[in-house]
Amino acid sequence: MPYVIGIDTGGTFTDAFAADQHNRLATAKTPSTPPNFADGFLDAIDGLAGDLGTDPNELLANTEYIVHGTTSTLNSLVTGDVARVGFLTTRGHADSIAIMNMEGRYAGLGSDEIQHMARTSKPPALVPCGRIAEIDERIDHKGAVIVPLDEDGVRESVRALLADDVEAIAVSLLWSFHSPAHEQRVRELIHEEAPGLYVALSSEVSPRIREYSRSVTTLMNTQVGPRLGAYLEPLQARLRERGFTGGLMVMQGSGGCVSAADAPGRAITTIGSVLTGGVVGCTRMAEALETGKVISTDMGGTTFLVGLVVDGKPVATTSTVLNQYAISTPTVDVHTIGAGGGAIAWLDTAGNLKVGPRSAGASPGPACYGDGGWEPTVTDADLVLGIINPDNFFGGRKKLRTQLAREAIDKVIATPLSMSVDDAAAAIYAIQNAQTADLVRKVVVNSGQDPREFTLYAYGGAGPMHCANYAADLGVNEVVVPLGATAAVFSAYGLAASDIILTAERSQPAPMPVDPAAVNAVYAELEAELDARLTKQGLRFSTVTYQREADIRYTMQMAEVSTPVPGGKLAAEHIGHIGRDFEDRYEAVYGKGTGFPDAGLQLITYRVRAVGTLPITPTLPDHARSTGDPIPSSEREVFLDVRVGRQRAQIYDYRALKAGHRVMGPAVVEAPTTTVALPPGTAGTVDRLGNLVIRYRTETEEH
Amino acid sequence: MPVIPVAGSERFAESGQPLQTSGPFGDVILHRVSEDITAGLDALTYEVIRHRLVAVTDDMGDAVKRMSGSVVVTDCNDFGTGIMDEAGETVQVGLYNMQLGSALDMAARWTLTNRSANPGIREGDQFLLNDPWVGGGLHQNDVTVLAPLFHDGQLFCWTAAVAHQVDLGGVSPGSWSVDGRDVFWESLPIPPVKIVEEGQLRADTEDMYLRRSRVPRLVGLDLRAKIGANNVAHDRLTALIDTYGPDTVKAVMKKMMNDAEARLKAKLRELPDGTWSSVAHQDGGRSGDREIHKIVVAMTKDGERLTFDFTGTDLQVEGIINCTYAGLRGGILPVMLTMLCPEMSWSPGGVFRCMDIISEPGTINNCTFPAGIGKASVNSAWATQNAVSETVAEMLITHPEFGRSAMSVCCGTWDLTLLSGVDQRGSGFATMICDPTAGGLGARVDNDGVDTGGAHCIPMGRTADVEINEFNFPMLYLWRREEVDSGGPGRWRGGVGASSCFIPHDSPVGEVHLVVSANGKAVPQAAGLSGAYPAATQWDVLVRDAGVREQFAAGKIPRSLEQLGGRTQVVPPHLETDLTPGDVYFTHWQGGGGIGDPLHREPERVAKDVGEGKVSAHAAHAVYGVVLADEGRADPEATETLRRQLSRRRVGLEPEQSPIDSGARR
Amino acid sequence: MIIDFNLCTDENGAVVCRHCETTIGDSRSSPMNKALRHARPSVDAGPGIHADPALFVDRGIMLRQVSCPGCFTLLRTEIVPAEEPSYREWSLR
Repeated sequence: MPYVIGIDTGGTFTDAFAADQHNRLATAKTPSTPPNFADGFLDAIDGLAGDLGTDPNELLANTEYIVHGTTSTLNSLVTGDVARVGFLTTRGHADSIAIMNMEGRYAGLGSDEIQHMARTSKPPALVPCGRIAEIDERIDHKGAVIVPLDEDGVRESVRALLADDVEAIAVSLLWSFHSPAHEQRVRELIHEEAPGLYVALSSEVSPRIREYSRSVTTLMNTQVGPRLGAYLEPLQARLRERGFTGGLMVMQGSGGCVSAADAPGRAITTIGSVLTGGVVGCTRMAEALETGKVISTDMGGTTFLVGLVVDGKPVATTSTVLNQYAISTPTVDVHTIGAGGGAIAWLDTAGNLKVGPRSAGASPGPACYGDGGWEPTVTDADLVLGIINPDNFFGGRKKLRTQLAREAIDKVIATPLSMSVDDAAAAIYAIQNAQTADLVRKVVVNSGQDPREFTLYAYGGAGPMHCANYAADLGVNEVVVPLGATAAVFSAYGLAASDIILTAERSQPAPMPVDPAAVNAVYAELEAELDARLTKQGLRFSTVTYQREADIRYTMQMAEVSTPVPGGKLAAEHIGHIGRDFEDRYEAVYGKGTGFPDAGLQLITYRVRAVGTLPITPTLPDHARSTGDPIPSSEREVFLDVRVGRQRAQIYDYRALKAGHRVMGPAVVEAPTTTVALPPGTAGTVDRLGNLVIRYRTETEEH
Repeated sequence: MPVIPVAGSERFAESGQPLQTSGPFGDVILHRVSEDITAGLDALTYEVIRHRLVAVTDDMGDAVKRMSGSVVVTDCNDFGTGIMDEAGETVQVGLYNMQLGSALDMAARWTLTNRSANPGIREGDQFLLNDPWVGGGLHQNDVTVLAPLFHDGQLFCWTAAVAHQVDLGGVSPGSWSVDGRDVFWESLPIPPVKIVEEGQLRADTEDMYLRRSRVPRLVGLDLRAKIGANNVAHDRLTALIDTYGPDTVKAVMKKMMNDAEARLKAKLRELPDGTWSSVAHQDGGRSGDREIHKIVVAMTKDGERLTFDFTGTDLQVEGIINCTYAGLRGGILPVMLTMLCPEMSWSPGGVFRCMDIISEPGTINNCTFPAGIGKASVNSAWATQNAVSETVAEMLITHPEFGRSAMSVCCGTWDLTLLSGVDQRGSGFATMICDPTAGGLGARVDNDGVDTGGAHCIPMGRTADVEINEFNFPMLYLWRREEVDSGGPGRWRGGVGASSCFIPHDSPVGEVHLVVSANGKAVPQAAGLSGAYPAATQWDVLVRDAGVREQFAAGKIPRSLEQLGGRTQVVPPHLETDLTPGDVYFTHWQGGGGIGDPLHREPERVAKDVGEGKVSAHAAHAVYGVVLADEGRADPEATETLRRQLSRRRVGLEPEQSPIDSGARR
Repeated sequence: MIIDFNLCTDENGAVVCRHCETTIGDSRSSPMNKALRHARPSVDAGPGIHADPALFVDRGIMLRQVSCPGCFTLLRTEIVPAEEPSYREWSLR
């Protein structure tokens, strides 16, 4: 009977998914309600209850926990609606966050923007200089106290900040990750002056070497923490009023969730909250389908998101860039380019055809929407090529005007290039696919993997129209288009199916081989810390596992390679194994012969991830089995392959397709939420969960 | 001592001109493509393959960065990557140190011409060089690994990775020998030698190369990084050729250069014809030299061509600051790419076709062997860049749209601080402190220059965190901060530079060796435009027997040079010395030049700058003519009066007698 | 056409101040010949000159400024060795 619910609050829609242990599923999609996102959250609960034919309060009363993907943190940072923060740092180093290691002028920008050097700038300061105070204190690289903490100076600075009405204080001192005593004492002093004030210490938020990103991470955490609390606390109260006694969890960028009570203190970890649901969904789907390696591609209206799942886990990164600031927080590695369905096709001054990164977005949208957009987009090209059915876009909920799409492509692309409109549309389609393939390849290769070993998942409104093409370019085995029960709310499904994941890490740079006693001590502390935090979540877990890793590099390299570390008490031979494992991984990423043990190895950061598996795991229901062959609903001329051009293709209505049905390309499958293009040479099979699995036919099969 | 002419050294002086002969090149057959295949390329194929080629130089850069062990590479991005066609023309360079993308073509042509018969150029070979007369890098520290790619037995194209290595021998640690008089004081150049033979790293060549370094392990790691980058590129290019066919891929390469040429010419046609000239000064060519050495350039734009005429530039000097023709080109290309070509493919092969260079061999930025070039990249090449950047920016700001890509001169030169000795773990070390990567950028037509925004030739530079430097090297920072008044005053202010102040810390031997080489101390080097002031002079100070440790013990961290105590020594442009544990070193690098008259800057902006520590109250008054009232706001009336007085003083007139008089005029 | 922040040319090629419309010269032959020129020791340029150039070099270093004769707007500022001619010039064709 008990339910688990996933609620993913995006900018436009709030997606919801509920499941119990007996394969009872419900889904709901309701409009988001900015700025009061909690209203949309509760509407989505109502929607789920409606789908289940029950009362919302009864549903809540029977819900064990809710996992929530929220835009709150990202939204606060993007819109600048953040807490008024004061910043305390080591004397002589206040400018670190302004100098930004210089990289802040271009971090996160595309090469087109970086080339235009005179047009690049640093982002606005995180804190005005009047709310930054330097403290006399100094710790060195060994953790030795060189200058004791000037407690009077701290008190004085804190009083000045309080007089300036700060709502929260961030503290980031040099080498605090190594020796946090000064930061901890600063917090005590702040609380003597202002009991209960929100304080974040860099040694807790991001205990990693490199003061610039540690300070930025701590500052941003301090800016969003109070806001996240102000969103979650009333939401939780409203849920309680309606009879909810379970746990409210918040999805983190790491792909695991954390309790709502614990989230504000580590708010920065929720920055990727809404980006990761899809990847987690892919992880669960891959588990169900027993797929080892998955490329997750989500092509929506404005962006294209790529993530990877390897051996049942999302591929993670240890840092990310937001507003050109470097943030150190473990996140699922989701890459994005402005190449969604709304990406605009244009000619540069030399007459080269380009697609994106600018997007027509949801408003005015593609030219074919007829809402005032005049620039041709990828969606317009898809429409002209016959891939999209103008009368059946999003299940017929949006009528499209092919004539407007043709006119836009003609005016902007075809006429200037002396091409036919059809050829111009084909060129847009092909360039879009090639760019997408390039990005995906870069993501896969940079993580040290070979795309040919992967299955590609394509979801989002526009992805399935293009995936067979860009996936072919990558050489992947097969493409899965998740349809079936979860199609519309795939990321909410991912949330409901997630685990609790907490991460603890600490930099303690040292040359390898590190003394095993030191390694055992660090891991024991990190695991004890996680143990305490897991208990605080107030949940039952079916299992708890600890995954250790160490970031290692050849001496002086900038980037480390995260290397797994076995559990338990380690001896010298284990340390040797870890070093050799690092070297193997290094060569796997950079090629045979690139390793150079003579340079020496350094262990920089220790990390432990605690994964608490929750007792309810939603299982997806089986799709109805086929009896006979699939019957096309119609036929039309469609352009699906550059080498073939326009050709007759069978059109299928997804709702009539059953598990086991096989559809041969050239064909188009129209589903209520998306359209799947099957170019010649491909075959799509409906699997037992209702997904469409696309494979490339070999020559022999053709004959 | 007079410079001894070295007979036979002309053989290594690559001209920079396209390949003059069609061969033969030993048994090497070049893969060529006909004009009509290039002309017949469809827009779609072109764009897809072009995108891939750009991605290849990017992937090469990722590989170098990830694999290198030198902070100079990993943190400063002081490296370059490129793809050249079969004849060595540069098709595409990566977005790294643009100086280092500007002579890869020369290296490829020299290698093709001089190595194809003996020892031969074959599939799987890679060549190593650090001879700036041949090309590749700008000084001996820039080591290039050049890799020919074969397809079907024909030489299809070349790829190259080049990066700054921390030490390759020579008199001083770091290979910047500040007493050097000619190249024989420095790391000796290596002309192209086969480092990888048919896929195998040659142990003999590697040993010959690494034997010269004080940090051979680091340099060995970097060598693998560069070979690895070429391997990555070759895998990707081969896949591309297999998919599209060699002729199509080659045609795209040709068209990329043709396109860059056509687009740059179209842009030049829209600009007025005229001549803009400028000058750059360097104080001190080596330790003890009190001369000033100038580079003069007159840039003429005629129709769709640019000519850079360096006639009048000083003769090469006995010292370390000269640069070869590769350095001269390295001073021009970054400016051309960032200011004239920001919206096109960076295909230097096409860009070079739009310009002529007039320069006399034997001058300071086109020196002949055996002139000293140890610091070429950040001396005469950089100074060339400063002068060229002024002329190009002046031409651009005549145009309302193209002017938006212009900047005043960015950070005037590199404030070299090199530390070496024994690190806290007892190992030998030598490293350049890369903090000056955060120089100030020049002002723009509609905005201030970016504070601590970088250097012109490295669009994506980076400085290491203080903690990373303190972890790696025996040093402890008192501060690293942006510096007041370091940006050139103007209607738009140049970006501010910054300073670092540190002490030796925790070396088991106590002292740390220091090499300093930084020009611009007598003559500021980042000039302003349209009447604006240059950025501040470079300023480095050594304090002996400072009282820092006593202050630490008393719970205080000094905040200024004045608080350090001890004996203060203003550091000359070139110095080599030891820092003892009681000494402090302060290094203050340059900002960017301004644009427009500082008296035209809105007083509120000046007041804000004062509040944020970018401009001092003194400069606000004396240079910007802004009178600050209570709470740091500008007093409009007093400001107007003061500005009128300053503008008279600037032309040599006495101030007006009565402020009432000026009130009446308003 | 516009030359820079301070100057433009009129239809006859004369160089004119954009702030006060004073004619400064001819854009082809002598663009700035009517401008006011004044030189001072470089340390007069303000706090950006950190040290006396005599510490480093033997030649005198000057702040040379060129201004509009009508409104005294700065047209050029350079800090250069005293005895050197100004290499910073321009002309249109």
